[in-house]
Amino acid sequence: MIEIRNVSKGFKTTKKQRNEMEVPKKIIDAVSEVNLVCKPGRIFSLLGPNGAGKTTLLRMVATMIHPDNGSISVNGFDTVKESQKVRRSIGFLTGGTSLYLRFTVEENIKFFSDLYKIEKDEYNKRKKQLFDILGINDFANKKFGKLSSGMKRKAFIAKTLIHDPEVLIFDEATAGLDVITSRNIVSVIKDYKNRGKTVIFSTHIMGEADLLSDDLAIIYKGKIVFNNTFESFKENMETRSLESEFIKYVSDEL
Amino acid sequence: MKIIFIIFKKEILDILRDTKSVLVMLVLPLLAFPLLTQLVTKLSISHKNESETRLLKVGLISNNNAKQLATLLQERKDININLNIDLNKLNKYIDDKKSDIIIVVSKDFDTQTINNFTGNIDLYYKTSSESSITKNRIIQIIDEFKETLLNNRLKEKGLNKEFITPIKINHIDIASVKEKLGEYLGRVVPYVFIIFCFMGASYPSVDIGVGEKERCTIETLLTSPVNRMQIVMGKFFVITFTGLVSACLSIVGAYYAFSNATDLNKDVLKGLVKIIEIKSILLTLSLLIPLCVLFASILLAISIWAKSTKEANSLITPFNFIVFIPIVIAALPGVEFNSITALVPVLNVSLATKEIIAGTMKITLLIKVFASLFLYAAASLYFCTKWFEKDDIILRGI
Repeated sequence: MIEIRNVSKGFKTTKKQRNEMEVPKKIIDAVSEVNLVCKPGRIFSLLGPNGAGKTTLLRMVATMIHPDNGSISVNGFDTVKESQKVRRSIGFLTGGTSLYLRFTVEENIKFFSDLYKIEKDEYNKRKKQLFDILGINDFANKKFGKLSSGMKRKAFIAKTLIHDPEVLIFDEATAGLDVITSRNIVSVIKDYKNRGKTVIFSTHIMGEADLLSDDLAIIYKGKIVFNNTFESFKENMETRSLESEFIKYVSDEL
Repeated sequence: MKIIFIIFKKEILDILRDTKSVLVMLVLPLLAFPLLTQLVTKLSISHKNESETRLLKVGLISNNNAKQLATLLQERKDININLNIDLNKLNKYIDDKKSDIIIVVSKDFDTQTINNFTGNIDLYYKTSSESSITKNRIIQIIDEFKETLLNNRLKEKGLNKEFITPIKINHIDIASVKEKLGEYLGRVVPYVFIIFCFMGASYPSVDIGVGEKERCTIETLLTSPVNRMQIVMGKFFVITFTGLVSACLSIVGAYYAFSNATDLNKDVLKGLVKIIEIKSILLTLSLLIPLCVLFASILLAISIWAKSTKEANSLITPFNFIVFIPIVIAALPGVEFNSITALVPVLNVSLATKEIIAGTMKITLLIKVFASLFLYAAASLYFCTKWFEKDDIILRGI
């Protein structure tokens, strides 16, 4: 369960950034007064165009950054006061992150499992399961830096799931991936949902949200402009396609 | 503590798999000194031998004087003498390398010397690395000639040699070989280990600091169940360790270079053996620990703040000079190890090393050095950990 209550986050801007963005403010609001609840056994999609505040919000959920105002609890733990407990219960997969290039896939996974203090037997069991499901065995002993982007993403998924987290956070996890690897990620997300875990994923592609979502929130310029079930989103559509309906929410003419 | 060790182990393994890091941290410090000394020694010896034995082209304008000198020169097989030199083109002969040196005997040389006055001989040459050896070879011959003239004069007057040497100064240096060598080595050794300590620490600091941002692994690490203090400590220990290893290897390399220097005389080698006492080595190494801590925390803070490797390198490069300047100051004559210089980082280590090697270290000053270094190191480490906890610093450039 993830509960986000009245969360705001601002970032200091440099003079250069202010000139480039034509924003006079020294602090810009990346996320503003956001309220969301992601329930276990359901897939929550956070949809928004680039720069809408999705990554900032998910980074706050993952304890990488702290909110300026409001609070976030993950599995009942506060992200600021009990950040280590939060990190122990989440699996965070983003499109832009990587593992250690000079380490093999197995060494990478072992390193992170040591940080999660997973017992040796449990580690071996989970490693075998994940390597079989994701088809990692063939390249488990290859250096991460020598792998193709699809292999890298599979290895990263294995790292994300090695401690069997209660909450999965996927930030643009399928961006730039081929169909097969994307399908792998989608199947992982569905599997976690079926096991009663909480899943939140961000995307700017409506098709992805359509494929997976139980609940949907649309974020635009740091503010939540839609927050309900995906069913209600579809039912109340004023335009012909999901894409057009999404654009309606993230358009300044609204 | 276990988590810090896991991070430390991971970072060390990661660095050891990077060829460039291994070269900078291990190979270069170990081989730099032996290779450099071998190269310099071999080159200078071969150059010296060549200059001392090669056939010298000597021009002589005797003006029909100093016939004995001309004979002495002509008898030498290592000299090719040219008696047909035009006085007006002396510079051209030397510029065109037709002559290495030209001797011009004054027209009144014989008259002057016969009458017990001074005869003049002018030497024309061009200053270069070789000219001093060439000049010395000629002066040796002229001195031989001078000695003959002087002996003749003393014999004529019935005087012995002591007549012209009313005072003889006997130099008795009470400094032991250890002290003399300590003074010399104390200037050289800090150059070696402080520079390599900094170099050995700076390369991994960039790799495991901003390198994590560039390779997009920092987010992965930050979302793991470790706190930032554990991450920063794991990285900090690695940088301190690599700095120490590089410094130690540079000392090992320098020791090997000195102990294998065949051109050193036996006294010097004996002194060297005395200097390299376990106590001196341990004291010097113990000075290195707080210095490495200081370097590591500063370098890590810079590396964490930087947006890219390029930015980190451009920020760290000026620090090379900041580190270098106190070492140069320590080697200057007149710079003493006192209660003020004992508080200046790097300068205090350089001066203290000199004292340790010479065996003249005062314990009160040594305590001051340790106390000040640990204080600076603790302050910079505290600053580094605070720096690491700031979101806008750690995620700068991501």
